[in-house]
Amino acid sequence: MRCAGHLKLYNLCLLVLSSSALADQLEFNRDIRPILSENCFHCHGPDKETREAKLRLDTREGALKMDAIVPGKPDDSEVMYRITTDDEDDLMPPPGHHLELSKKNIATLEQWIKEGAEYQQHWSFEQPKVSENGKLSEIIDTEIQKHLKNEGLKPSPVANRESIIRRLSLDLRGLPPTLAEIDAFIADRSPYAYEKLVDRLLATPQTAERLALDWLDVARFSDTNGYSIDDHRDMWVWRDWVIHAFIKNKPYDVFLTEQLAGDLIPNATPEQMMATGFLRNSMNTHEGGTIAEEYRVAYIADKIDTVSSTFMGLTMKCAQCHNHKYDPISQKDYYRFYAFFNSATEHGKGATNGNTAPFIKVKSPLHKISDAHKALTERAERIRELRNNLKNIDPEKFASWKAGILAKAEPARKEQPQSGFRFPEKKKAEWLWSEKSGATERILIRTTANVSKGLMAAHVFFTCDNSADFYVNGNKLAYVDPWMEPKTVNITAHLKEGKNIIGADALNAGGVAGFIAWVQLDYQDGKTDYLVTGPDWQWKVPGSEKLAPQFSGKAGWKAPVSLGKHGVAPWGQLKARKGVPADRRLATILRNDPKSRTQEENKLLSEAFLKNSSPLAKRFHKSLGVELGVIEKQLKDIGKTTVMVMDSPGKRKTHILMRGEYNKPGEEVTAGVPDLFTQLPDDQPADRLALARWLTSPENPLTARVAVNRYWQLIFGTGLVRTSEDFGSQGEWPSHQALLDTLAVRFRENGWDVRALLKEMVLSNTYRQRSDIPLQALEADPQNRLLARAPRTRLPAELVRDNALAISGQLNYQIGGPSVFPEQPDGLWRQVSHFGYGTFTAQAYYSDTGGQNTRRSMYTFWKRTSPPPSLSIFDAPTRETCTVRRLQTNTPLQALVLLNDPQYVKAAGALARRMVDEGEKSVKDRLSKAFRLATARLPKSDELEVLTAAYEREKARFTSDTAAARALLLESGNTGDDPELAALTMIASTILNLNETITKQ
Amino acid sequence: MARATISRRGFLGGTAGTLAFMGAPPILGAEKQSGGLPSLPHHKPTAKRVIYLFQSGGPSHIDLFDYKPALEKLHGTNLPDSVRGDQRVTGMTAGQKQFLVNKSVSPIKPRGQSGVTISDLLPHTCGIADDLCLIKSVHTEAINHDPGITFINTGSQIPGLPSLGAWCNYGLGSNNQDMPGYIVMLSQGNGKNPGQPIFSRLWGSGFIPSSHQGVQLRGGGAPILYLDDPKGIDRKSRRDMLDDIARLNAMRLDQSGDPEIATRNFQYDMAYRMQASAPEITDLSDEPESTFELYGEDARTPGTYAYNCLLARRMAERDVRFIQLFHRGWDQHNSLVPHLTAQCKDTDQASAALVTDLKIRGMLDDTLVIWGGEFGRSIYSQGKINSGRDHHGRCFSMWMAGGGVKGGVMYGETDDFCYNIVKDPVHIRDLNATVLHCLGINDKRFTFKFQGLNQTPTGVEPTKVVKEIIG
Repeated sequence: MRCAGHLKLYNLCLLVLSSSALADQLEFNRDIRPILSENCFHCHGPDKETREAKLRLDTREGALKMDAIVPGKPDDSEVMYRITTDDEDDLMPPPGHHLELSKKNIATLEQWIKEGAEYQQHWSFEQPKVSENGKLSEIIDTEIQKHLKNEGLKPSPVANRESIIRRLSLDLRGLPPTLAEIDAFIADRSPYAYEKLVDRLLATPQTAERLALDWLDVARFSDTNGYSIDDHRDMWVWRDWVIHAFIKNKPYDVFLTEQLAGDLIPNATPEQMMATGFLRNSMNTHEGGTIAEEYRVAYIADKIDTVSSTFMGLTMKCAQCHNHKYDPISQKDYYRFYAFFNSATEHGKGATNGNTAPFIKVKSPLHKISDAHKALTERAERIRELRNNLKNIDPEKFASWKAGILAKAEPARKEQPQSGFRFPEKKKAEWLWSEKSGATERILIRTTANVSKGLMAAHVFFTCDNSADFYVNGNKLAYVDPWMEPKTVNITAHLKEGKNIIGADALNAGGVAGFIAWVQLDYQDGKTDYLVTGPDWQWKVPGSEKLAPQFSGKAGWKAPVSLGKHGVAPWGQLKARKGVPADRRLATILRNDPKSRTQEENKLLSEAFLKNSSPLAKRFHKSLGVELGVIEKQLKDIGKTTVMVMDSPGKRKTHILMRGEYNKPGEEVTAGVPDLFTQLPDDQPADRLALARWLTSPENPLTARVAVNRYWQLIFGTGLVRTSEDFGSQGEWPSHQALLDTLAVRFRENGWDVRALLKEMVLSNTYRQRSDIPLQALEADPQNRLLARAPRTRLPAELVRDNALAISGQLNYQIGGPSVFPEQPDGLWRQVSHFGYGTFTAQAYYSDTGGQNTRRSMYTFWKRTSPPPSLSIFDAPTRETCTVRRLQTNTPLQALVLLNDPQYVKAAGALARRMVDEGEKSVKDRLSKAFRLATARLPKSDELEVLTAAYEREKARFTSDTAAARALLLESGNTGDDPELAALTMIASTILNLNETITKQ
Repeated sequence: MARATISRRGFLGGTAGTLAFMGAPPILGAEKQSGGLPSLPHHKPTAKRVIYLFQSGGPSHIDLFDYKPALEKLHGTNLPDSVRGDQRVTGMTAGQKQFLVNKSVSPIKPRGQSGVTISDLLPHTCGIADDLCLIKSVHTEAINHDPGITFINTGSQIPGLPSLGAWCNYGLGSNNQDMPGYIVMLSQGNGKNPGQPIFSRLWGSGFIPSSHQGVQLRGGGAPILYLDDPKGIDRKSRRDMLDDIARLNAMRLDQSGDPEIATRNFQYDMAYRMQASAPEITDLSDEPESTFELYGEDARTPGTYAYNCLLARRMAERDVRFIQLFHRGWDQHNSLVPHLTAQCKDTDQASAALVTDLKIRGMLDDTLVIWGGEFGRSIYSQGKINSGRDHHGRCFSMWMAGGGVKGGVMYGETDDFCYNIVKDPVHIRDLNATVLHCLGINDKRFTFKFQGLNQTPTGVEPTKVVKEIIG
């Protein structure tokens, strides 16, 4: 059974809505067109291909021609008969079409015909009328209040300052105000206090980030390619471009032109070219078997969808396959528009693991290279650590494998240098031998040591593959074997002031050989000399004598061949050689501190370990290697990063594609704008630059309206045209058309100044009203389209998280740069991706640690086939296609995110710590402060009572259950088992979960 | 947009509105059903719920279901051009000089009383032949995985549209207030590991509100993301905290009159109940040994296909509306015999067990079970004989059971080469329309307005419900 109570309510709302939308005098666009469009145009509309009975009702001429409509005479009008008859054969819309005209709609049509059946061109295709003068913020109030008065409603009183600053800060910066900001605003008694605040907030880079966030949806920005494998791409520099454009308050017409045609602007700068990444954010594919042309067409269709929805508020998509059923856009119009994009060289088959041509290398206009470098280095380090930590790769196997290796090898000998013996990084000892192949069986090798006065100590650290005797001035002092356990010998007593000859009698038993030594001479005055194996050493073939080799003399001595340098740990970088007991070498490496291992040692270790490991572990290890490779490449290119751009060599011809199919070309067409609009000028090439100029020309009826509507949506929650992506005949009629038009014209006349536009909106009294909803107001206007109160909306997904980070004091304010990988549950990508097949990027998620974990959510790495779950749950779109308007839901999964997502648990922990650390002593003060950080107001006494009681209850619980306290503190990023801190964590979580905390009101 | 909006808010704003007007705290569990459109169902449904066993990658109809004795003679010969016609071939075999006919790698025979044809590779499925409606004439235009799997699940090859499950969840609402109305489970077969990627869009909500998207139930750890309370918070203290939140929210509700606040409180309560009910689904300790004899030992291991099938039955018992499994690995371009055998071994017993189990419990009558992938495979060999098959969308086989669909029936026929349909084609749009029909929905009357269009689950093209298979 369904809940009947709810149903009644919907009906009530519907009635209320419609009656409030109905005015005394009928107007075609507002009252009639929606009815005809919904019920009639499909068969009697602009598309002549599907037109029935040669009748069209979308033009007055067409409707009058066949007496379908006889102005003033509903009884003579065929239309009225058809929609009211009982005869199923005659009834319109035909019963099979599943459309039904309501009695009210029938009455409306009748009245309209009676009044003379006047038509209007669709409102949004007509020029906005010239607007009134005066201050925009005041015009907003006048217009809003005019409509309110018509409905017998009154605006709400002005909200208090705490509410205002929070609302403003959330709308403009997407972040809550700080307590200092709240106090300052409340204390500022100047008449311009609010305007000053607006100006200050508008100028912050956080506002630029907030504005860019919406643009990322529109531009379907992503860090992955989207289709099939969905591997990574590098477009973060384009995101930096967008943020930078908002920081500079780039005029909207320039913003549009550069993104649509930056490459075609004469003498285009790299920054203008990179802006066209906007168009290239389309998904692409390199799935095996793909027919490239099919997808090249799909990418262009996506560009058209994006450009038409974003800038024109039009859905052109339908006309890809056939003439538009509702709007006067023909299939030919569509392919003329298509021709603007069709000449690009972008191929249907996308590149693997990165950007698809054409792309350019550019410097971020925004980001400090040093910051990006630091972030990427940290990430590389993190991935490397993950990769080298074999325990992590295959936890079950590693422990037993390690134990096995250590057991097989001999117990470790104490071969580390004694105290006072150091290996400075800069000194590079080299492996030496007589020849590169190292095959020679036996050589002598030597150098001269000049010892000065005051020698305190001298040590040698050496080894040889396979073995060597070490000599000082002809005396044999040590023997080494095996090579991977070097010897340290104190040779102080054997050296004299002046020249000494030190050297080795080295032996190789097959395979590659090498000798390496490090001599350190410490003097009483603190000076240290080093003699390390290098090109200045000498070698020769020894004589037949085996017992007393001659290290002196000149004959036969030659320069050695260098086989490689040592790494951090002695002598890490020796290549693995045949005949070496691998397990003993592995054992030596395993005994070392993992952090001191060289790359070579890690490689040896992982190769040996993975040989017998599970396929999954192998994939895991390989995948980390691929990711590391990408980061290393990005690091190398950090000065200039690649970004995909548009180009336009202009060679390809464009045809109408029959039924939209890539392989069914029809009539050839040239680039142009839809017939219904003023056409492009003849005296310049019809390219994307001309399109951009056309869009931003004063004659264009749509561009400015669509833009101001989107900014209205950002500030007031709902656009003046609610369907902000659709201003066509199926879109919704504007709630305040005169206001929309005034805003649009003034926006354009004011140099397309976005910040100025936003400022006027927020300066209005309409914006500054209280948002409380009196019961009658809810009944009269449940959706608040008339704005008798300020809107209340849940924060967008990214801002829900950003807020929690800011409230808890964790937010990292770094701006721009490469995408980051905050914590998310394990395995989400792997479950859907091609993880383990081939070497594709972005197939498994490796979260960041440290500061990059708490960046603003707009920087979170976006994988289209598996977007960040805690953002999706709060209605973030997948970014597969252009999204101009998000829907808002209120679900149990959202509750689970705020309660249990480790990111929010840690935010609660940080907020608890903040309560303790920032000086408040009493519990009430601490709780009040946390509450105020989240809501910008102090709790009322009953609210504080609830919080205090909860605190006492939790404190008692944690006092009696210290294990629970310890566990919660650990989960929330703290330590210890302090019951007070644990209780504060619970309260912090409670506060972060309040509806008010995640609501702009 | 008004209609869609109000409907959309039926569960959300609507619920809240009621509560706000009444000025009372939410009364829980008063109604079993939540959400759904008042206009649905359009007609009397034959199925209350769907379990969709999606076999990702393109299972071979030639080797599993479509019985063609004539192929014995044609094996190894070149496929006549007249059969191939103007078909689009993927880039993987477009360059082949020869298109050698490759007969089924394992015998296919009529099974049960009805004679529904099934391969030796699927012995357990053979056992439920008389419950199955085998459709041998499903077809799609897609020739590659991403467009193919997106097409059959969302009605379009181009991403952006809601999935079939999301549509159902939106239209019909949930029968269980403690669980999401659309649940998805993933598994990976041993045949081709890893299989082709899948995407969250396959269970996404496209332009309809995200509350209707499929919720993934996961194999290990918390069955639903973020379901588990942090350590140190037990059930009682969680309850206490939720009461605090509800109380504080209610104070704001009094002050502001915002109905969303009441909804928020309602959702927190549902979350709390979900924390209890979701683990119940995954707690198999109440299952007798016979369950694991039926589904196979794999059903004890979280993340396997068999485990997911068992969970599907447990969810069906709890009246979850739309349950969808995605099992990867059916993309046999090479290693046809070993990989296909492995895929069958992973899935055969549990698929059959699910149908049998539902039948024993009397639930098959109102549960529609669907088995199939995004397309079939080519009769011609990719490379050498028996080495592999390319994609084939012109015809492929799927089966349905229960939910009002006739058992022991075969529908549609293909030519001697399993290549073209010769009788009763069922486009994947028709298939989806038929699924919706079983749920009491007319696919063309079921709309959501977006971008100025009344969008439907099956797009603008006409559809034909396969009434012949509905009992």
